[in-house]
Amino acid sequence: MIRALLVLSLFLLPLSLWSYNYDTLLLKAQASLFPKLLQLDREIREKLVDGKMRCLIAYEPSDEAVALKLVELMRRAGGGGIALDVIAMPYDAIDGETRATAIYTLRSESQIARIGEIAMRHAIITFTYDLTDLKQRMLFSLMLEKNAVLYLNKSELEHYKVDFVDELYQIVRFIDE
Amino acid sequence: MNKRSSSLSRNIVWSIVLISLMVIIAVFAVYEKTNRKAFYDIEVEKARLIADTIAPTLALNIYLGLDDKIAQTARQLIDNPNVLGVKIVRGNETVYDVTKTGSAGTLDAFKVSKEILQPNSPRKIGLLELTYSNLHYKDLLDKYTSMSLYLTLILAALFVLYGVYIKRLLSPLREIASLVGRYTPETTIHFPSAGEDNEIGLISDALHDMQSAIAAYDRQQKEMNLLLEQKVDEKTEELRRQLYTDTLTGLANRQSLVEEIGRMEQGALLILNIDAFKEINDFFGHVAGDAILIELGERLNNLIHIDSNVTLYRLSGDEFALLIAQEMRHEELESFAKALVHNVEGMLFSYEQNDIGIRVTIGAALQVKGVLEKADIALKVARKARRPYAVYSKEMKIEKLYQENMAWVSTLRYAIENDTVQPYFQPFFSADGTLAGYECLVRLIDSEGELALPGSFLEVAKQSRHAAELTRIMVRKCCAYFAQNDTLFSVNLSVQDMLDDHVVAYIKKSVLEYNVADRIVFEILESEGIENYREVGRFIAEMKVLGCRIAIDDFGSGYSNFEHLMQLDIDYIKIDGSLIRNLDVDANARVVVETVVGFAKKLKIQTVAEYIHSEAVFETAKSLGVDRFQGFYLGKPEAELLTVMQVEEEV
Repeated sequence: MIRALLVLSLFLLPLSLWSYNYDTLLLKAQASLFPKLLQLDREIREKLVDGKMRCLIAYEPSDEAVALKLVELMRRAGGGGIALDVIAMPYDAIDGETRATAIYTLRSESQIARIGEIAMRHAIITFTYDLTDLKQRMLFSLMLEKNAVLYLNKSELEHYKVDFVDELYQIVRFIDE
Repeated sequence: MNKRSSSLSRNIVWSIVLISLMVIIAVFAVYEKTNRKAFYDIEVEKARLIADTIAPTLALNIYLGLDDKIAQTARQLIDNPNVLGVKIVRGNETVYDVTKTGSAGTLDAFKVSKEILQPNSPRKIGLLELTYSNLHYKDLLDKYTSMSLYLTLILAALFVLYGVYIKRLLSPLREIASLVGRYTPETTIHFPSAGEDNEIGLISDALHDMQSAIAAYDRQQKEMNLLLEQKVDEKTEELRRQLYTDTLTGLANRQSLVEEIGRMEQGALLILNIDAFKEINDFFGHVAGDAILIELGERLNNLIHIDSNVTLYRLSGDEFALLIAQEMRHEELESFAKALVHNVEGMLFSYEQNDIGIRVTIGAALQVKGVLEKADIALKVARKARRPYAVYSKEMKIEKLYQENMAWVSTLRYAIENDTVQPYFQPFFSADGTLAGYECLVRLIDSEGELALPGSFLEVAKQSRHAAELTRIMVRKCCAYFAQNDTLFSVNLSVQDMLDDHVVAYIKKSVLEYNVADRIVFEILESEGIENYREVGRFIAEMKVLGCRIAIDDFGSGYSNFEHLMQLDIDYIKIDGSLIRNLDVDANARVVVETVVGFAKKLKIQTVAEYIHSEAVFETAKSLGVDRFQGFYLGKPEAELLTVMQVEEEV
């Protein structure tokens, strides 16, 4: 037990020193919800990569551990009826040639907007950890308030080539400019 | 007959009510059934709608694992007053199951289940089960039932009002019926609603017109009845007059006399009969006879005019009656009758320059009871006794006369049954004294062997219907008797014999059987030959065919029409004894006999003089040219024919 706590301390220590701070509970919630959200898109079949929902976890190098943890969490949550392929990928590795069904972005000072541009251009659904990133053209985010609240960037919705089930719009909270 | 009490208006309303009720019940039943189901379906649909509405959101929440959202949704559902319970199952795990406290229970609720499918996928991820309240459904039903009840009540009220309206609408018909029921042609009914432009108005107008027509017809009928009654009265009076009045003389008739006698308590009756009135008719004609009767009636009326107690009647052709409505003694009645005879026989009746006198016989009776019959008997007695009048009295011994008649009937029956009817033969001769033949005369021998002459029994035989049998016996015996010799013989026949087909057939049969047709002569009375001209003519013709001969007996006794008589094709005329009897001293008789003989000779008819009772009469008859002679002077009737010696002696 002590050993485990020590390992975890060693793991979390550099995070606390070199990376952004993340809410673990929120990460778990987002990881479990994100793949499911993808399947609410009626056009999801058109966006599969090699027959799978390819989700990229975009991260700054300092957040690689968090990204990997997210990969694990997402894989555990599964893609429901469609095979899920979750890949952690640094921001820099993602460009216009990157093929993906969806991109989850961890915190970044400068990469978020670019990822948004690429996603909109290639009809990739985006999900961001930080709610404020929705201002940089991200599509979804999730916050744990009194209840879990799913946010949707209404102003960018038309630019994403998505067709979500109607009920989704009843439960989301829209963010407008 | 029991009249149905229900009125037309009531029937109309009831029929409409019944039909409407049936329609309402049918509609109500159909609506009840359909609406109940519809209401139930609506509630179920509402529950399903709620489930369907909430299911996508719930599905998303389940799918996304938003448990708090699931709970929030469930609470929203349970807040619905009609949702009594919510059960949410995720996979196989019930994540929410709440039942509203204080709910009526499952009896007043139903459940709706809804599968929760993963959004954008057919995969089942859960189940929503709603327990939905029936209360609203029951409220609807209650409202619907109440509404139906109110509707029925309103309809019932409307029907009552409608019934009243119909009754009021048709009430004039009832009034019309009542008025028509009391209608008599003498009254005038003012029908209700007359002149109105509706059905009742039209009926009233039609009844009014009919009433006018009936009234007019009634007036016409009454006038006609009045006229008919007048006519009937007139006719009745006329018939009454005819019933009680003699049409020829205008006098009261026999019917009137009978009724007057019935009303009378005391008095007397005289029946006046004109003697030989038939001969007046025959000689002067019926017109003359009628004129005499009319004049006699007038004269008798004049005679009795002074006495208001005497009433004159005409009973029959030649009979009058005088009814005296006062008490009289026998002697007084005799004097009255005598005076009446005297007066009447002193009258002369003028007709076509002929003065005709009449003789009368009167029968009278005093007793009121059976006075007509008694006067009639008295008349017969007077006529039989050849007296001018007779008054009925017990001393007339009418009963004795009847007894005698009865005795003669017995004698007749005895003679017929015992074959004691005996023909007697009286000879008649030619002028040269030779025997010309015999007249067969009937005689009876009674049970004591006494001989009876026809004057005693012939009339009784006719009345008791033994005459035909006597004729048959005489014809048979005479034919049989004379079948053995060549002598001519004659047999007397009455007109009744000639009218009886059986007797005539018997005569023919006998004549032919005994072969005496060329020797038999049938004697027919002049008076009967004239009275029954056609029947006698037919008989004569039949006998002539056989070869028989015919004689007219007692010729000249009446006022026969010679020309008429001669057409009967007769062979002999037997001149009446009244003319022959005094031929030797009566110049008038001689003139008549001479005329008859001369007339007969011209017609080649032989004449026979009867009643030759003396030589003087015989000689006179011979001198007048009579062909045959018969009488006691020459030969009496005998049971046997004369022998040759006797004939010579007679001659």
